[in-house]
Amino acid sequence: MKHRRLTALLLMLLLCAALGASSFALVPHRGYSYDNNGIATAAPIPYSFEQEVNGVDYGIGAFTSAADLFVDQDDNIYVLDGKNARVCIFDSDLELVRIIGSAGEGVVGSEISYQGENVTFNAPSGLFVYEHFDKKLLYVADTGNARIVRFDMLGELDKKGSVEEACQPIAAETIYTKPAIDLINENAAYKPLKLVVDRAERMHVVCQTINRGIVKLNPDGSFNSFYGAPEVSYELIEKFWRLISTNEQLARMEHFVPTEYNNIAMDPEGFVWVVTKTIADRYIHDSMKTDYDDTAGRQEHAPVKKINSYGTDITSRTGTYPPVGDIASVTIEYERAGSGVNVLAQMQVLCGTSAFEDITVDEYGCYYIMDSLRHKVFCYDCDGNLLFQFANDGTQFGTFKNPVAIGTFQDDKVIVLDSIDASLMIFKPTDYGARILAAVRAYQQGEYQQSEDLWQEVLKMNSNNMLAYSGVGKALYRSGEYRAAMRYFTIAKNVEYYSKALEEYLHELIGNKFTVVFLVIVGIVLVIWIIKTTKQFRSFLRNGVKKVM
Amino acid sequence: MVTVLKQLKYAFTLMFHPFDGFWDLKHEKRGSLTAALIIVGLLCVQQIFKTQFTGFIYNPEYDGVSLNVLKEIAIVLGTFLLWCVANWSLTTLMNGEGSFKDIVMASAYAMAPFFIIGFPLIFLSNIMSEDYESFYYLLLYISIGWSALLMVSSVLVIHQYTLGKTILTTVLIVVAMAVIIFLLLLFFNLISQMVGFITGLYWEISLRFF
Repeated sequence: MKHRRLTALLLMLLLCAALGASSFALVPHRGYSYDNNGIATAAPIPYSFEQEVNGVDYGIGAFTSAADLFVDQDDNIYVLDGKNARVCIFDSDLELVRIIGSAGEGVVGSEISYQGENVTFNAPSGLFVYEHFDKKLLYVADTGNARIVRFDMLGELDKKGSVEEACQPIAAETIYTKPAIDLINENAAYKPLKLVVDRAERMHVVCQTINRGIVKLNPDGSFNSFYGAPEVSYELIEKFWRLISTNEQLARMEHFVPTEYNNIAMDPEGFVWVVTKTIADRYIHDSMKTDYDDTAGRQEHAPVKKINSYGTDITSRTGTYPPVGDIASVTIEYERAGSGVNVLAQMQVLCGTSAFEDITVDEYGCYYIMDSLRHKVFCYDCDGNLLFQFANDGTQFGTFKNPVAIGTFQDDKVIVLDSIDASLMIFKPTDYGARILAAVRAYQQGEYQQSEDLWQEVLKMNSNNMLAYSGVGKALYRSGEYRAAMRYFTIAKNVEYYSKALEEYLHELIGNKFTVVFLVIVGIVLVIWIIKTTKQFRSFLRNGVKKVM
Repeated sequence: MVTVLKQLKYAFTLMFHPFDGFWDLKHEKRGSLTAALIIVGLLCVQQIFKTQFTGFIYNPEYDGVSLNVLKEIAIVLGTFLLWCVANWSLTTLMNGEGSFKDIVMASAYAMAPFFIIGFPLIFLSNIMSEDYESFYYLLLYISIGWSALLMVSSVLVIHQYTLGKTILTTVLIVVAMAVIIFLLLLFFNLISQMVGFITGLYWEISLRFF
């Protein structure tokens, strides 16, 4: 008897443990998406935490003040370990292949030589890998030393295995020191923060303290031009106040300087993307309210921009809301335990827009932006529709303390570099997230039937997903089923595409018969007119002029 | 029946000849109150149809099911009655010559273009894509503007005012409408407070003594 009771207790404990283990699968963040009224509605989780990578596990010491992350076309991961002054490179199987640079004694790393001299990074903060044909060049923005260091990576990434092999000395290929820029003071500090390199090997550098836009450097390191500085515009009322203020008052006012970009990325087409978090909330809110009837979707104060080589904002913003992350104030509907029944309650949360730290663009034009304010990742498609958001701040697996960089990995995984947690966090899409991504990709590749099927599956998982209705509608529209497409666009409130589908539908309905319809209408009008005039004419004959008048 | 139809058809004549039209409406008995009320009824029907059947492009907010017929009728009747009452109460003070019946009749007939253009437009909007947006709004504004002009000329003719006085009166009527709305809101607020007070008193007494 006593034994049996003990066994029962043990069994219960075991059950508890099992339940506890299953709760590991729970994701420490809530899924939501925005409906057409800007209200956050519950949505399934699109991405779940898969794996964490940190330096200690590889015996190379923890990352300290990790600053940047890059994933190249072969899925090699480059981590810029800021304070340790080294670049750690992992391959697609997450094996350590190379370490470049070291802060000195006690830090596992390799020596860098350049023209016979030793080179050490000083607080580097950005890196980029240039891949074109069979070239593979690594650029490191060595911020503290005011220079950009370039390495030829060909043949360097084959050294698999031990830490010793990964720490072989390496020679820097080129070092670009401070370029002579006429437009800024010669003594001004030159601090390259982040950079990308275009196909012509020109470097596009975001520099601290330079707010004239992006610095474009020629392949030889000389200055080319500034571009992409956001225009500073005064509102009329501000102009008026400035007009009547005294000099002392003016000095105390907010200075209107163009915003500095805090990160830069390049998409597979070679366009430059920039993010900034220095725009005041109210400006972002104001520019969100702009009329999106003009399909250019220009946003005056945009935290995310795709710019062409002239610096013109060419971002497509056809979504219900522009890509700004969280929308100003959000109403979340949730079920609250009432007396006996659960009641639906509303809650206003998350005020203020997101602060974007980094951006990465995948092959299909979908971009992931990282919000360093609420530690979320937002994913938009190439037209600027919010696909989903995930992650949160916190200390659990899959939550961030200080995310600094983001990259895509192995097709649809997402890597986030957390500088305080000193680790890379790898997220993989859930069924829900994977289907959304697959649907977007299928549509872009012209597989409309497949895209429709996938969006239908997404709708089964989340009937609140307005984008899915739009997606089904678009796929139907492309495959010529206009009437059905119109029904889906009505649900998604997609006026633009509804109008297109309507036009096609009417065209199909009337088609070449338009002339006939037109002639019939004209004929009817003519007959009525003739009957009326003959009536008048007859009564004129009978009664004379007076009665008719 | 035939006379009512004839009186309704008079709306077409009135649309194009407002000054003679309103004069004949009042003095020659070319229209009737029955016909006027039928026009108001048609406006109610138009409002209901407008909410329910306007094309998606021009009415994207509507979900297709949440129509409240009584609310739509109340909107039309309320606005119409508000205009008539404000018109009557002001023009009696300002030496207007029209009776309340004249005002109701003239105002109803003045709304004719709004119905005649607006009603077919509801159905047209279903086959107008975004490219025809400007035509849609052009027709809509023409119907509204035309009716507004007829309204003003109805004030002029029915009360035998000069043009200057007509414009002044029209502005004052709009102000009077706002005042009436304000008074109504105040009234309802006070009533609800009083009702709240009395029910509170009732509960206090009944809980204490019974």
